[in-house]
Amino acid sequence: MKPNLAVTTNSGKTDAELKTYILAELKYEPSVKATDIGVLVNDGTVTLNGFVPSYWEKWAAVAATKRVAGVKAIADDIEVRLPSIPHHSDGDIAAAAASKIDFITTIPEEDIHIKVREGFVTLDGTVEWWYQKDAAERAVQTLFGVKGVSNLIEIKPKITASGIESDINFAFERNSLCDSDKINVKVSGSAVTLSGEVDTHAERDEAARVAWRAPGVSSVDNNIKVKWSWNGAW
Amino acid sequence: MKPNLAVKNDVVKTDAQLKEYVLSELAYEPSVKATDIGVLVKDGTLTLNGFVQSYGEKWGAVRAAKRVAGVKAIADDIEVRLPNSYHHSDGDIAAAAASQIKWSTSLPAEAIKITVREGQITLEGTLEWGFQKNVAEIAVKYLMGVTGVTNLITVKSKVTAFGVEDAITAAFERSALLDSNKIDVQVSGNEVTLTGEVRNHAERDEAERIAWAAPGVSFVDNQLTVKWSWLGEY
Repeated sequence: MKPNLAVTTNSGKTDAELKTYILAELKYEPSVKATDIGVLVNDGTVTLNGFVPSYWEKWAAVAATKRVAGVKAIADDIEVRLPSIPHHSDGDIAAAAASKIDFITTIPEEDIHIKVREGFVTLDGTVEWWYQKDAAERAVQTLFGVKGVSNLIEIKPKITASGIESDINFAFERNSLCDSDKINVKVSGSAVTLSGEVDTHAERDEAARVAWRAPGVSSVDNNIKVKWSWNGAW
Repeated sequence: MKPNLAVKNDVVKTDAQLKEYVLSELAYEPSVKATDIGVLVKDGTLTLNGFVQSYGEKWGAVRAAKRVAGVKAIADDIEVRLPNSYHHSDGDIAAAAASQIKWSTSLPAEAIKITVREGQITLEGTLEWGFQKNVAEIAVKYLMGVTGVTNLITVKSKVTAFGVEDAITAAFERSALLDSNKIDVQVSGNEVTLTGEVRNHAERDEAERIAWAAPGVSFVDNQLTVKWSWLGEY
């Protein structure tokens, strides 16, 4: 795929070029002010550091980096330095988070506990599905005043399933983004481990979501690697 | 590229098989109760109909259908029928929506006008970036009691569009997901038109997101079509 990209990544996949691409992508991303973010690249592995004024922007900077062709892995050392005005107290943030979680249809609010300490939000509790845990995290990560989010919500499926592996493999077969031949699914009880090599972070992330959707899954260990030598791979 | 995917999509190309795959995917998606959703397929184009309990679920169903390999386009005729426990007055919904937007770090709350009538939210106003228009919609679409969202926000950039075509083309080239050779970018003033054929809906949506991110862009007309006959093409 991408014969032109293949050439780019093979002939031109130096760390210096990748760095130029990432800096260009961060600059292009309108939700991120790239001027205070530093980018280090070593063998396709990227470290982001520096400062941003919100947790959401930190998240957006990582997402932008993930999109760039040639990025194998990312270490996120970006620090959130909130502007002094407007100030949001931990109590205000906790109240906003709670009311948000209360009002969102995809989150079963009675099972989630929110703690806020100096802008750091911790989510606790138990839900049935990963998408509910994820929705809770997304709900709080965009709030003003948030410096970080620890999502400690546990997933306890209500059903015990056999056939998890075939459920997931069939879902990969249907999926337009994931290449089922490149992804290996192993199931032990309710725990899923994914391994293999895929072409993009989009595919890697989607693979984990696919696995989480299977009924009865309590954990997904995503060991899939993003591969970037294209020639001869197909 | 992806010859095995190519084969996969050729195998799945009857409407009957595609329907079966879409029904399986809807049944597999935990945030959607698929029993009340109907699927019609004609030449790879789907119509979804029936009933769901929230606007978020309607959206989840469309997203699930979009993921399925072989789906060219989707007509969404799903109706939201709120259960009694989800009913909220328009005033409550408007207040919740206003609070969501007020607490969103990336939105200038004062620029967005929210109207709610019988659960239908209308967003109006003028924002600087396309992504903000999107963030505003996401902030309200999962709220309890919402039966629909009409996003009439207009995007007016503070900068004059300049070199938009080059900026978008360069961003396509950086993107791990997109094959820039297949997408044609045309710019007229501050409006962008995308044409060509892409491999899946993830790519189609990503191309549109990238075009919106170029400085100065106020409108993106996404005419990209999703193509599903692979053999011999790459």
